[in-house]
Amino acid sequence: MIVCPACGHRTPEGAELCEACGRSLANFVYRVCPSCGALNSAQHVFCHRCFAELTLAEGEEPIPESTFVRPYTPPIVTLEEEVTTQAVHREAKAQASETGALPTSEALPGQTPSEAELGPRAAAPISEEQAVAPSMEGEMGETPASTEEALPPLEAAESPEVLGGGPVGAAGVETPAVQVAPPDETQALTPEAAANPLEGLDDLLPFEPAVTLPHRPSQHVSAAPSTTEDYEAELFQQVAVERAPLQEGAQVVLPRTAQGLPQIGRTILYILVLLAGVLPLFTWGQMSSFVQPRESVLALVRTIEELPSGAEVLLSFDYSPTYAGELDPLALAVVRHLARRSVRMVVMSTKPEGIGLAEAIYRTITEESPDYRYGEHYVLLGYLPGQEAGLRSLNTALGDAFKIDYLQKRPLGELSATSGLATLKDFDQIIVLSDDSLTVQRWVEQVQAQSDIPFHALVTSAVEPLLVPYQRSGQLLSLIPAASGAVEYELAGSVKPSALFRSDAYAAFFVLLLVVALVTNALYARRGKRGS
Amino acid sequence: MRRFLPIAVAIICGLWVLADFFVSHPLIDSVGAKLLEGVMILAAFALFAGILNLLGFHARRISKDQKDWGYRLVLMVALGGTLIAGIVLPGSGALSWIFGYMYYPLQSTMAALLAFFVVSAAYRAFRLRNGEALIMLITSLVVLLAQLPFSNRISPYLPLLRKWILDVPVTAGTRGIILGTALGTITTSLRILLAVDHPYAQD
Repeated sequence: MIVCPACGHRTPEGAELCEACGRSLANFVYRVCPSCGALNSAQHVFCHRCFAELTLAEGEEPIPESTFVRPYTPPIVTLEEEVTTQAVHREAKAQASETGALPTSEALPGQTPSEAELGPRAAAPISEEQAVAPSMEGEMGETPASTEEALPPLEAAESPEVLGGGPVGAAGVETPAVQVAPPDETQALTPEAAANPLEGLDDLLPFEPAVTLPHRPSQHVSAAPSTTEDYEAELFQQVAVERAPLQEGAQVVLPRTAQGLPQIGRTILYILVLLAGVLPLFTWGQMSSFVQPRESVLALVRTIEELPSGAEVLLSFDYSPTYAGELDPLALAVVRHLARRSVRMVVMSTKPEGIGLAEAIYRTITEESPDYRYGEHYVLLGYLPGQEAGLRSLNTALGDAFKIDYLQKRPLGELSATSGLATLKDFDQIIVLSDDSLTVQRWVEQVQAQSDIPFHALVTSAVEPLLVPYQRSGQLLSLIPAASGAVEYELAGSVKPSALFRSDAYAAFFVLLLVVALVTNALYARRGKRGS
Repeated sequence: MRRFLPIAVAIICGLWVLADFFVSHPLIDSVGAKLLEGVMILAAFALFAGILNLLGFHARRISKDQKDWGYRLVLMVALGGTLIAGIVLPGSGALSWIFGYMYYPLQSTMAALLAFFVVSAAYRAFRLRNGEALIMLITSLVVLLAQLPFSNRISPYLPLLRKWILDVPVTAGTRGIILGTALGTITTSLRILLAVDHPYAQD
């Protein structure tokens, strides 16, 4: 159904002219849903309310037009009518001033002010029940046969509420009866409301036409709900009322009150941790005599020992200062060993802060061995962005990834340590120091898998288990956890000791954890016996 | 055209870099290297864009006079000071000083606090509530004990036991994760290369 833009008549789909007024429907703007009667834009193919197809199916009966909502069109008030209305208003005001009654609404010729105030319903007797408790059934209950029948044209005598008159009721719409009291009662009950605020004022501006227009209540068409609306209402009720399927059978789990350490226990425990940390300051590596390097550490030491003087090794410092306390000692031990073997080292990082850590390590090396010079024996390349892409480019051409070095900003070709290096295949060994497994995985996938260069990973102890599969597959020649690896490497490589004293701290910390485990379970068992 | 062009560029670049991984040809290698170089430049620029975004974010909140504006101001001053030290005074050692005497100790301090939290957490984690807790406790203690540099002296079986734990149950689980991740990566790559997914193009 399409709506004629001129007269509003509904014409079946496909018609070119309006059945009622004969005008062209080429520019119609509304289309009526044949299923639910909702108005839709002419461009809509499906109804916005019920999603039914807007073009009527063959053989389908359109729903009665009487159930459609007809938009309210206010009557057009001509200038003459407006002048007449204002004159009547002034006359009614004058009469009210003479009689003492308030002109609470506009009166038309032929009507007394009291009738005008009360509206047409005031003449009808009001039952006691209506006066006490207004029923709402009249508003929603009966369905008028048509809009025209249900809503007769309003009389001009029906006064707008804004003028202080009683509420206006239209047929089929009940208004609360308490508001439809006789005028004398209204005056007696509400003297403040009876006072006319405009009384005594002359030459008042006339009311705007829109204000003087009779008030119409909203035209409420209570058409029988369609099947679609019934279904939607039922669905909404299910969604709103029923429990969600995921909730069925679910148990409400209240957060358990964690039985943590009491304050005194926590204080004692923290003091013990502190003591375990400072213990090496007093014992200075008493446990180091018991250190025995494991096979992976010995393998790396042997590999470096077998490197010829002047061999090229790439080191990547891929860790942050957070784990520097664990990884720095191992890095220092390995770099000391390489420097002692006169191996040329090229240093880089795939983390922005890693190159700063490397710089600090090599500063220490330079202070220890002044003959070990930057540019000649080692070079800091800097930070390599791009993660996988960066490592791939490193594999393709070293000069593409790093144009200049980090410290002296010179082209790599000008530095003797990097003069003959074109790609990663020119390196003898690659050593990556990392605090996360993903970085090592990237190195294995993007570099080691392409070049078959001997590859070693020195990682934090927490990361080591995640990289064991790569070691077992042979892609990592050595995988060394840094916590114990530094101590073992210094012993195995006969490097200047700086981490050996840490073995005392490791032992103390382990004993502490063991004691905590035992005490915890002892307390737990004791509480269980008490039944608390 | 607005949708077709980015999809076409992404597919061509992806296939080219993939071919560069498997095929060795001067043309493929040189173009692939240029594409990777472009990615690195973009990644570096993303860092720069991130700094600008950070500055703008905190500057807006400082101008609105929010209650924690002081911390934001400290952050901006520190960021500006570090940038100046790195860009304007590259050879003065100021950047190394900031790194060595501010950034490094603060990060290490945060990490050192973990020791206290670990011991405190161990109090709850090591309770023997059931059989699983017993297995976890024994495994944890064995791995911890075997990590000591002198674990061989305690018992020659400790390193062997640790090796078995790492080689068998841990490796099995880790391999499962790695294989699952690899399959997911392959699927995602194929979807992008076949233009089923195009997250780079705004719809």
